[in-house]
Amino acid sequence: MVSFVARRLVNMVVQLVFVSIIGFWIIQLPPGSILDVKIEKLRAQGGNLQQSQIDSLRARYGVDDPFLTQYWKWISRSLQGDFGTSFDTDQKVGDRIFSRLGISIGLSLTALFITYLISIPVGVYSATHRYTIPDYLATLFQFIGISVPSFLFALLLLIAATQLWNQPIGGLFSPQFIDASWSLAKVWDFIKHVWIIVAVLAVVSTAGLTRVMRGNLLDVLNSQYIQTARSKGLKESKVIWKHAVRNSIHPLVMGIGTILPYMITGDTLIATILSLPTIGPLYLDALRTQDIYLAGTILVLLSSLLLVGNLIADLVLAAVDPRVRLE
Amino acid sequence: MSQKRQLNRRDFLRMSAMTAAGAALAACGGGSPTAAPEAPAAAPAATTAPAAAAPAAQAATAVPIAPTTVAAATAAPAMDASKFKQAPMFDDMVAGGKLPPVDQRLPKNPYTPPHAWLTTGKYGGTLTKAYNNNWGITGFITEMQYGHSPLRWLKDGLAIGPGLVESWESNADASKWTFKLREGVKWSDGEAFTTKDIMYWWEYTVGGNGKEKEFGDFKPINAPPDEARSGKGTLMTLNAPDDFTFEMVFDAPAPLTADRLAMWTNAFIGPGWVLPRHYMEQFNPVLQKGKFKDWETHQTKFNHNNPDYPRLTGWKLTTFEDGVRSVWERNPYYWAVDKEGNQLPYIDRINVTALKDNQIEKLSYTSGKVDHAHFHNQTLADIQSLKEAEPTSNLEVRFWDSGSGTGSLYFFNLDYKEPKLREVFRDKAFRQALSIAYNRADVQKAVYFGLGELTSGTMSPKAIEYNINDEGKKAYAEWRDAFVKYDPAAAEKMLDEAGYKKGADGKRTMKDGSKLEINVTIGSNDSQPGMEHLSKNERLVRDWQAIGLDAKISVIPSEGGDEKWRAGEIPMKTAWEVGDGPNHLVYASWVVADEPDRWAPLHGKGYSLKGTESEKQELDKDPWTRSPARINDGEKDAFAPIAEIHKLYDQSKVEPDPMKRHALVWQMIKIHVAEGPFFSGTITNPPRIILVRKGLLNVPTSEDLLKDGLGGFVNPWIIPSPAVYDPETWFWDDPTAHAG
Repeated sequence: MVSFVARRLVNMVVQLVFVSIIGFWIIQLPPGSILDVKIEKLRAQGGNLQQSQIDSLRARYGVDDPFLTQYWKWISRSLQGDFGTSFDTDQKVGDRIFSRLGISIGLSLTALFITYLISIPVGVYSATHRYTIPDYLATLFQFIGISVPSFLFALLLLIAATQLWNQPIGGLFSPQFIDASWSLAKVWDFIKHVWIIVAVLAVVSTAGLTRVMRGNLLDVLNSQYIQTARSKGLKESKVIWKHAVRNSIHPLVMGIGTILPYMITGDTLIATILSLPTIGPLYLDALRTQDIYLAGTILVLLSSLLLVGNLIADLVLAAVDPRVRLE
Repeated sequence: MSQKRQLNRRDFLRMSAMTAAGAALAACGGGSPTAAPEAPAAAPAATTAPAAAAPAAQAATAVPIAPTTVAAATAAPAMDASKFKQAPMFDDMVAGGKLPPVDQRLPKNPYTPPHAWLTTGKYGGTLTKAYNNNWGITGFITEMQYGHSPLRWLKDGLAIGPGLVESWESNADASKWTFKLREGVKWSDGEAFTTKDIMYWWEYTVGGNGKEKEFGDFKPINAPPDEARSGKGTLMTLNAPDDFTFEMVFDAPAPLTADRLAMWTNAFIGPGWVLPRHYMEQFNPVLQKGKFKDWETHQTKFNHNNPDYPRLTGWKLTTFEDGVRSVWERNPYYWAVDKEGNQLPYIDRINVTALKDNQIEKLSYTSGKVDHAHFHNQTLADIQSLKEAEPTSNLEVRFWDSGSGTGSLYFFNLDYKEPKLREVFRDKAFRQALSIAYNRADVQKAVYFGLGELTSGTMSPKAIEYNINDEGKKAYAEWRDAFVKYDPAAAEKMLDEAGYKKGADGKRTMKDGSKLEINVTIGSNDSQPGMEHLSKNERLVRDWQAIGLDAKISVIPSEGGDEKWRAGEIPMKTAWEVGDGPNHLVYASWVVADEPDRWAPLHGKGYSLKGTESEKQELDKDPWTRSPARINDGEKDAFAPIAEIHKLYDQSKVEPDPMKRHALVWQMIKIHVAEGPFFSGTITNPPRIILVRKGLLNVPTSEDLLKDGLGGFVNPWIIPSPAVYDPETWFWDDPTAHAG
């Protein structure tokens, strides 16, 4: 067990080095550089930009440095905890990311919690009550959830909320409540902002998982050991929850591997629509403007989370699935 | 176990692929620039003070240029200092000793906004704004406040009035300018504002007055702006004889100096001019020897997102959350009062929320979630829904003139590398025929919703040269109408006569019978269906095909396009508009080839390098193989009309008499009419949508702007709008209802 984890950790470091090099390289592939974006911005704001000004910007951002020099500048400082300065806003990359990390993770954990809370029981119910009216209803909602893109659903809810109930748009609080201390009014304001996010996540992400849960459980329910358990006279609830569900929950556990990075950027589209200050939209902007230090740092962060997530998934799977042993 | 490892790797690969796709997406869609949305991508042009400017300068009287209305501003000294009043929110702070009394916070002679539409307002309330824009949520407010500017544009660019500078004068040939600052202006942290703050900018960020020697390994972080150069191009010497006087000394006339000191809001948009020395010098690597490795910290502190940065504007930034919001509070030291001596601004607070999508922005406007919108991403196509929402959103839709010379335009590269096509592009018969074959009315209807006025393509109709007298008005009308009449039959005849006959396949050929292909090039960023420039280009191609030309749209990558254009490798530019300033000469690039991004890139580069070492170098080489590619006037490959314009432009730079400068501009325009079109427009002066909540007063209507100006002149960044209309004077009819 210990050697397994140690081996995996060493592998992870190697993989991260490659990911950072390749990712950094890909981010720079599009023609032009952040400087073009910056110059265009300055032009738009300040008319003619003189060559001397452009030269001083070039020197400052080091855009003419060879790739490896740029990479080294970034990675050597990053190892000391300084991820560089975001070209776009002249703020520290670390500050830009960490100021959003809390909200990103908070939202995703909520969504994850809701997703599991709904999809496992509903999936189990659908599987055990196949072809009944509740199963058909659940299936209907799930198909809608799968087929309607999340951003469209968010948009529809947002329009309904503002046009019908005159609710606020975007963010997590109305301006007058952001700096206020917690009160009932503030909680109510928060709920008014957050219910759309929760509803969208609940409908969209539970749908897929519920289907998977239902399908897997159906497979397992036909297994002989389930029949054996039943014929032994076990209580039906014990048969289902202890024997069947535990064996059909693999995909959900394996999902954890991808869930960590998903928690950071999975909500990009929804966050864009709902103007949420999460990392997804920040990453998108960074890629589009070639803000290389910012994009590179988020990329490495995502990759490490993916690797860590996979490790956790393996460990959890070993715990829940008696057939899996780590050696 | 092995199976699971496989899974992991697959996940890993999928993740990498996703990232790659993301980057590829960025590569295709392409680093869409974060430029502010409706910023005129085109560098603005031109500014000149009204006729008053230079004669007055020669007369060398104090406060000569101020138009009549500014008398009110300078009448302030008559006001007894104790008459100044402040916002109630400061009463307790002053009583508690946390803030000096209002008389001590205001300068001796505070600025009084002179606009005709102003009434005395009430204190209080919050202004709520929401924008979708990468520029950030602080940039807009920066463009709303003129407090950092030495001088101010008034009446939509027809006049210049005092700002931080109270009075100014120049010697007879405009080579020495003396400026007097208001005494007693303070930064938002209470520190006195004096010439030290100007000298700091000039000497320790630009490296002027020879201070660059002290910089050692550090390069200057700011470049000298245009106003720091004389008509001959040499840098000024900036002197500060005392705390409130500074002088700009040039080696030749610099007639546009006052105009240029009124341009931009400054500080964060445009050149710096005033930096709070007491704050910034802590981070200056030149002054703090050994403390900093580079300018990084200096630039992080000199940032419109930094709440600690002291300001001279009506509101100061108090909260900034990246990508979320910003909050601006009244600056207790703002140096302006209304006519009754009430310190401005009236409104306590500005709240700006960041949105991330244009449609969401529209939704927040139609559902009335904001109080005012100016720098939005809504287009003319959205007018209808914004109008329809008026009764429920309570947001009144107003139109201010953009002042654009033309909306979407096109021009050929007169310095195209390939000689045969270059000859075609330089043939005025060809360019004129193509201009009259272009059905502008159709584009006006389909793309601009019938707004604006058809134009061949000129500088801004608001430019002083077009409005000063009848000769100017005539010059404008002549240029605007020169090639605007839609007449495909005449175009066909012109092309036939010029030798571009139709070949066997019905397509027109070059004069020698070889194939003639017109690639209507457009950058990939501008070529999504339905976008303004592409819609125009589709119609352009249709109209040109109708007269037998082999024209087609050709999409090129937006990035790296500039380099190719400057090397003469791209035949056309079609996604631009003429946004410009209050006169032709401050930014003359559309009229004069003085830089390499417009219709004659090699001539422009050659002109911009005049007087430098490279002017004499590489003369034996082909212009397109020089580094950088350039053509000097008079060379074998030069285009004669360009040299004529250059000559007139050189004269204008050292001409102190504004009327004579206007006359030189009119001569340049004559060349554009006779030898042009060098660039071809569609419609001029489309309106800009402004949203104003009912009950928000002192925001001018277009009628107000017509009475006291030109009806608006919103697009140029060098006449910063709405800063020029002093938003500090805006107020709520019922402030308690907008306490927000």
